[in-house]
Amino acid sequence: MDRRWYTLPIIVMGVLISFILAMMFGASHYAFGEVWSVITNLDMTDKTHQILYEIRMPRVLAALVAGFMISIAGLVLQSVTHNDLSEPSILGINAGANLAIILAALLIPTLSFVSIMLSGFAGGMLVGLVILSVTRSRSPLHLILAGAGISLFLYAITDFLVITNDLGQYMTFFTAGGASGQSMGNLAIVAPLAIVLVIGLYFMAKELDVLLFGDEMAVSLGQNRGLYKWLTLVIAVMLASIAVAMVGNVVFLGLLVPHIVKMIYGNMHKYTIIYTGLFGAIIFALSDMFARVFNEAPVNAVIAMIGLPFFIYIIKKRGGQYA
Amino acid sequence: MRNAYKLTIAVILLITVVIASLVTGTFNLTFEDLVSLVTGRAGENVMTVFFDFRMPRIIITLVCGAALAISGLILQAISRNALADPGIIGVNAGSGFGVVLFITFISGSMSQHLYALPIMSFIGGLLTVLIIFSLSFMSGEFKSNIFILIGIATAMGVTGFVYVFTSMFDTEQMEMLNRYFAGNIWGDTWAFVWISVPYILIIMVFVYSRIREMGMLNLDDEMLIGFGMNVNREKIILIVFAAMLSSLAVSVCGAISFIGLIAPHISRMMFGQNMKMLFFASTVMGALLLTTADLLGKLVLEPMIIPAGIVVSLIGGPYFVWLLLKAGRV
Repeated sequence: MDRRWYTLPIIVMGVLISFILAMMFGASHYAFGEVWSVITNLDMTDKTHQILYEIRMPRVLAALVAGFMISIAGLVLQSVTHNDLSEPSILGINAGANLAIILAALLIPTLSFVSIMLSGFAGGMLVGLVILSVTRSRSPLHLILAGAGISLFLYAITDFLVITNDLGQYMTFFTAGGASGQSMGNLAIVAPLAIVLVIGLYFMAKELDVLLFGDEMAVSLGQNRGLYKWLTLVIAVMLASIAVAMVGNVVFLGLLVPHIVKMIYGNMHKYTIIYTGLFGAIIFALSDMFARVFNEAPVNAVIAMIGLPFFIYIIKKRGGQYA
Repeated sequence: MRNAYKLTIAVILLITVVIASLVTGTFNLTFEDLVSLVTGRAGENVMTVFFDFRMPRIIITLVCGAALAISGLILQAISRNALADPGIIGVNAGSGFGVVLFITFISGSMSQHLYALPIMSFIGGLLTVLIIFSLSFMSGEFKSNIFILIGIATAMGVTGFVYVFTSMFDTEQMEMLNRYFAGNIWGDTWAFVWISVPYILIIMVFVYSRIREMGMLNLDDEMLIGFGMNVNREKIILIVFAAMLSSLAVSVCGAISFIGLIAPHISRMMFGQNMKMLFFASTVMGALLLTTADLLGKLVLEPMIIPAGIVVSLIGGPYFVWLLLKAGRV
């Protein structure tokens, strides 16, 4: 047993604590006892229980699951693209998913949640393909600019659809980000899927380590780097696009969390995948809680308050690489 | 000499688009109306349509297109990166934040205070760029790549904050914000022309006075220092100009991206690398692109008007992706 696993129980406790905190605080506050009794002894005739179980709980769980997925997607994208600054929203994957979702919702208004997820994945994957074909031998800056430009373009098309079809409320949801309006039914689909995808990634932890070292290393170790690069990329895009379907375009989270985890636990994916997921769940659930406390502020604003300074810090620290 | 031909053709194209924009719209003017305008025998309503509605809009569109193009040209020269654009590095987001603050805190009838709007937007855009700029120094030296990276991140972050206040907005206010972000040319009266165009023109003259230094910036920093150029100072001055140009333009014509990217690029393909030539060519190309976008947005889905910013992005986006793929192969 490696000592890097010793902290795992603490982090898992952290997830539970953040779940309970997020259940307690929000637009209106509830005591710990009430939350506890909802978990242990649910009584649907009680009005408080009803609110907590039907509105608050799906939202908190959605935030936990989304944070888990987005952060792991960010981690994998950083390894696959060899770029410290990669993250689903910076690379434009979120914009692609967002556009595909809006397009699908326009064509078939009575779309089920699963098909929304699927169309999001198709859109995200398309951007992923372009991004990966662009990154081959270019500088980190080139990749980030590519992502920013593609995002701008895709958001313009989305805007166009929104304006010509009068869909303003959709747009605000996706750009502001937030875990509201989720049902337990959606979660029952997303959570198992996310866990299966992450287990799949976990089996490729070693291959991801090799990818991180670079293409030459992969070749000299005899790895089929094309296969693993694509496989991990597809899973990362899938995680990111499902998260978009649930909580909209969340910025910085996929950048922030993997960096913190790598600072503590090093670069081995065996550890970072698990810790990134759990840390991501905690941070997103708590950000969503703060967003609720501050009069339903967009969760992106909350995350950006930590994320933006952190981004600038990373750039400054590793400046030589980008300058 | 051949460059002069090409530039002439571009200018003729520009004039055609301008005339087409002047005569089309909800109230179509005929050719006779135009002739009567020139000869001074036009009727009252033709005069009103032409001078009060069409003229200010076309002037704003021309000048803002040129300003965005020059801003992009400067940013590309400084960063030595053909993909730099004022919209990508956070000017639009910063201006948008200024617009949101304006809408939030100036309650009541907005049309009364409408002229304060571009000022707020200008301050928002300029402040954002200057903050990004001040963060881009490493050990006393300005790093343009870091400037671009921080700009992109700031654009992402600020967009989140824009929506902090929108939960308090009513439908009318929300529509106003969406119009800004879609790049709808809203400052289309004479008052807007007077508060933006003179400043843009003055800054453009200043930029032109530094054209020689701009052309030299594609050389190595060490070499330039060897020539006796104060590289840091030149870059700082040029960045401030670029920031002022783009935030002025965006403040009257909404969040428009990609012009600063495409116009210099097309100019480079057509006219080569001479910076003086590029300055004029980009000016013409920028003006041509924005007026064409505005015209197309007006005509394609008549009577619905597609904001010029969206049209520009719909044209510019594929161009951008093409540029990327092409660059990826090299």
